[in-house]
Amino acid sequence: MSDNLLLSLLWALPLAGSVLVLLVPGRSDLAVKGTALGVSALTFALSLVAFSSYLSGGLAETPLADRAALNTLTVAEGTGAVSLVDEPGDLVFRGPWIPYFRIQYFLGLDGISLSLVLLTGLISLLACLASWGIDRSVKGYFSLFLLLLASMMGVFLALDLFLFFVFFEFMLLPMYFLIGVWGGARKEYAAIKFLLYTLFGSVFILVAILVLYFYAPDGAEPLHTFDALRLMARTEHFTGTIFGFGVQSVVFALLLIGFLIKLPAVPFHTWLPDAHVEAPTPISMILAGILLKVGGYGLIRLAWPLAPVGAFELSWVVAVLGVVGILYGALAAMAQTDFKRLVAYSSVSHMGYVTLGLAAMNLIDPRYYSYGVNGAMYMMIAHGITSAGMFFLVGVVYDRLHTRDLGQLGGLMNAMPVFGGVTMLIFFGSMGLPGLCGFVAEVFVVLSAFNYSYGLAILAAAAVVLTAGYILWALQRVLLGRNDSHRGLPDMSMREVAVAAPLVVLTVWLGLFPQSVLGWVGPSVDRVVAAVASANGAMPEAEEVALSDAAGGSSR
Amino acid sequence: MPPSSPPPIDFSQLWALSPEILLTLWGLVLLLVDVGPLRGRPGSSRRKTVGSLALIGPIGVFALLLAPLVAGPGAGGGDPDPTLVYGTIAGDPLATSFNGVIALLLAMVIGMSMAWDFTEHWGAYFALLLWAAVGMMVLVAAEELLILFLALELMTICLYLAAAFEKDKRRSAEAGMKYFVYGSVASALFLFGLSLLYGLTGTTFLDGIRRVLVESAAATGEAGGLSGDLVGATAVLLILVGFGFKLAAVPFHQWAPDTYEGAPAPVSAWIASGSKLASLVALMKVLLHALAPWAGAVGGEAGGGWVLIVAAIAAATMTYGNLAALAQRNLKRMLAYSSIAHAGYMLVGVLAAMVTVRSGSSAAEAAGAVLFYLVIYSLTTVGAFAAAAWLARGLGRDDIDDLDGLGVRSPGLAVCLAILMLSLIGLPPTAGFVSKLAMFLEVLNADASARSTLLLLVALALVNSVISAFYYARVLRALFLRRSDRSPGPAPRGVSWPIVLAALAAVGFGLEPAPLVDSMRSAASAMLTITLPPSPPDLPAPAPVAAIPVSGGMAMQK
Amino acid sequence: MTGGDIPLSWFLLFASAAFAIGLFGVLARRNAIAVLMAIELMLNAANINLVAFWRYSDSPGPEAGPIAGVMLAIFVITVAAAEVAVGIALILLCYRRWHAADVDRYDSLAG
Repeated sequence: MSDNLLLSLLWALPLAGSVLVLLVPGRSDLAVKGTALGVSALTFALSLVAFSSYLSGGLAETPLADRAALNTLTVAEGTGAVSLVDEPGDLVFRGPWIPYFRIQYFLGLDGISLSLVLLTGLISLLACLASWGIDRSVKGYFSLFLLLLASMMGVFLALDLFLFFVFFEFMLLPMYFLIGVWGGARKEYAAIKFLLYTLFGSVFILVAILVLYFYAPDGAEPLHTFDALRLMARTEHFTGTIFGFGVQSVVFALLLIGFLIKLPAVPFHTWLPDAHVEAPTPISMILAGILLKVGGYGLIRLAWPLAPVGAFELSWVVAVLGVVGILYGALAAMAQTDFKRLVAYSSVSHMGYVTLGLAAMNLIDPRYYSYGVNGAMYMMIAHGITSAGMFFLVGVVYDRLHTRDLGQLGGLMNAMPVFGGVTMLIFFGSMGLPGLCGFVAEVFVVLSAFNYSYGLAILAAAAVVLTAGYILWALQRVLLGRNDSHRGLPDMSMREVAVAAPLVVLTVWLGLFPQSVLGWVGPSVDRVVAAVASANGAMPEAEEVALSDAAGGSSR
Repeated sequence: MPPSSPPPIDFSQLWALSPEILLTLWGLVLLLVDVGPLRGRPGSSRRKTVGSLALIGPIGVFALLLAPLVAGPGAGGGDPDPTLVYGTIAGDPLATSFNGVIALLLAMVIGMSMAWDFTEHWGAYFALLLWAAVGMMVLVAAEELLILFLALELMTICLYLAAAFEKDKRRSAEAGMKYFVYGSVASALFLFGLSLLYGLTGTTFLDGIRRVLVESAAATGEAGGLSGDLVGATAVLLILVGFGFKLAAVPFHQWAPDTYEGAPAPVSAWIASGSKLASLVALMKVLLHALAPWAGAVGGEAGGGWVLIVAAIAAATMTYGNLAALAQRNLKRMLAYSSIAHAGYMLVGVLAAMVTVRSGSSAAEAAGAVLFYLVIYSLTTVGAFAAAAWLARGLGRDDIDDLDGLGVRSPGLAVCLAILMLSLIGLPPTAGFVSKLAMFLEVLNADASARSTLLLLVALALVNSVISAFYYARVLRALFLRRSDRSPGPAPRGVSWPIVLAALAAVGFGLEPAPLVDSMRSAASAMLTITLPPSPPDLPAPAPVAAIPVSGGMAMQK
Repeated sequence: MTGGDIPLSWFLLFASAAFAIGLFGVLARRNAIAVLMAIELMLNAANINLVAFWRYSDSPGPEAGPIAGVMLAIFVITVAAAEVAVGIALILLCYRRWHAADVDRYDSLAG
């Protein structure tokens, strides 16, 4: 399969599916659901194909920029004739789109994006399965669902900033409707809040993109490109000031705000609990499992590499925001009486680890920085799995009891033993119990934080206690004790088990064998770190150090 | 050649004016048909008959525009870029392409008008719509200030009347009255500015004015701008105020919300799209060509000119329009404020086009991007007003809440309306996004010296687009998130096809903007290169009147 | 110069004054007919300007281009007549609805 076909299908297939779903004849909901499930499964299968060709092609060892350089696109001035070279089998494709502004249809995968593409495929498939209970405007729901899937895939695939932005913005619409139409009691409020917050964030990103496109230091020509990789290779171009601030600081600050809103980090997080509480269960799974990762992905893929000097200057702001997020999220989670809101705040806390991990850099020795970013990356994957699982489990309870009030739950362990076991495991995974996925990520992040600032690291480490506190307390209030009114509740159905099983397996697997992911994600992360480090003048031979060490370090 | 006998009009060139001539005559035919053969027939049957006949007008314009393409070059009038009637009207690509756009908008407005019986006088009503279109077409093509003024008056006088056409509704009469008072004051201000400009330059031709201004700037050695030129500044200011009224730019916008809300939905649509479109094109011609030497500087440099005024108006317009729209409950009133906000965005684009022109480049990209935006905006806004016509027909009112539940009742049209809202917000993948971004890209591309000022304006515009999402989302919310017992019923055909057409355009040009961008660019380059007809010997270099020493309080230095 | 004894500036000052009076009338008067008259005043002020500029220009007559100030003025008079006709029609319409010719009374639309 050519790169163009494979990469394009990853987003175009769900897009076509969203139309197909509308065309399903008759009034049979089952046919609609089946079609949607089929399309999701096919999309996931495609992401696995991409994964296997990434591994078998040894692409983890070749930098994305090198692969992209082999794919060229030239548009003849005047005639507009297009000639493009597509290197087969390297998971990069560069085609023409809007030649006026040199906007390309530029897609590509490396470890960072591929891991999230896989996560997207998996979580979407499971969320589709979890959507079986939807009974209102079924066609509309699944059409929007697949539209959302298409745009999320597009975000992770795009390497052209304009294309990225188009997909990034397009995610909002299906989400707005999915929350607004199929949501809970305050759905209208939650939907518009979500829409406005994220739109506001995207304005910052757009301005940053425009600055990158047009900025020219004295006497030089602007780069006039949206090609993210080309801009990353030319960061030395961005010297000088805008309105008295360093241009890189401005770009970084803009991207940071934009993506932190999406992540979300304190103080931009207030849309998240509302959106989560009102969204239907499968949409919460997607929101927590994938959409939040778009923020983190944007930081790793764009913010740091595009403005490394600015990122270094502002790293302490990011680190402090990260620690504040960890602590605030944990404390807020502890104060919740709504089960879903608790899980939502735990997401805020966990995303704090992502921010801290990215920020905690010690460029004198890029190894530790590499730990932090690898930890952040790992946290995104682990959190994608556990938080999707947690929201699903909350949904399971809600379907049966029609309440999420922690005061009215309790004793579910007796009534629903399978549910109890799954809940224990996934919540422990989220808590960071050694041997489960969350642990690996937290260790990496805290370890790197120690090399950045003792104070912040100690606070972050101390937060583990808070995390344990709210998770254990929640488990106690939900599962333990006796509650006779819950006797006779049906345990998880086969379908529900089918959704939960992959998440359980992955929670354990990622906890035991982190190298199975870091082995192919790590090199890409290390290259990002090395590029940022060398842009900041640290360690000319940074690349070798980082490369050799991350492989060894992560298996420890 | 003796002064008393101007050269005869070359009638073969009138081919280029055939759309205007056709619509003028067809309007008369409609009037006669309504008072003649149809006399005594009930209103609704006359509405259908006269409306269907009226549609032949824009269709005929399309036929006339396409005829040269089908018959091959040279079949129609020969010269592809004729300058008509002593050089006062252009037959260039700008005029041709905008004749097509105006005819399309006219057809959509006629379609909406056939939705319900809001008046008895159908012949007069449709004739006024057609004649307003004639005014718009001439306005776009005008190369001379008198013709421009006459076209402006033809357009607005027809619209004053059409706005008051809804019988039994107080608000319609009030809309017409307010529109009339504000509009004619604006005309008077514009005319006074025009008279001063004529006095200063001795000519009313756009190109002649430009030449005189360039020469006098060269003579005095000033770099441009208006500092110290009281009369020139007054003239420019008055002309800007006049256009500001037509465009509903802050602070000359007060008429717009009342007029849009009170007038029947098709007329509001016609004012918001066609009138705004033609006025903006005329404004661009005047500013970018005739008054370009007086532009002054944007960023930091000395020498105040109209650019600074336009920048301030643009910033105020988009911000005020968006903030005021937040509070609106009525669909048409909300669209009125939205149209004010969009005028602000477009003025930023005009500014960029000016900066490009000033930097000595004849590149038409920035001006082309503004025209592209203008066309997309006009199409989408007409589609949105069609929804108001639908509500007015079914429910007799047009609040946003009246759209409740239409997503379930008429899913297809509701999705189309949603697309229009997304396009107005400027979200991908709609044409609204592409056109907004293309315009802002050109703004930032314009000229390095002005970039930081322009970047601020663009950032303000982007923040404004986010604010706008809030009130456009009200429509989305009503359509899909709400349920209601009241329903306007199924949409009549006259309402549904404009909505569907506009939505198709919004998506189509969003995914493949290149053809429209191309044609708008060639239109823009025609706009920036207008010249007097080369041949006639009876047009010597105009002599500025203001060279006369003037005693009294007025200092005339040019 | 062909202007005779009266300097151009007198005409211009007169026109400006008439224009200012008209503008004041539009803003200050509440009677719709008075507003209409004020608008006419403004248009005619512009006419005086046009004719005066034409008469005092160095090269009056057809050499200044096919459309000189006088022709402009004639067209403006026509336009003004059309505007009055439309204006009176609208005032009558409003008078029938409100039984008042006071523009402040027309207030069914606001906000």
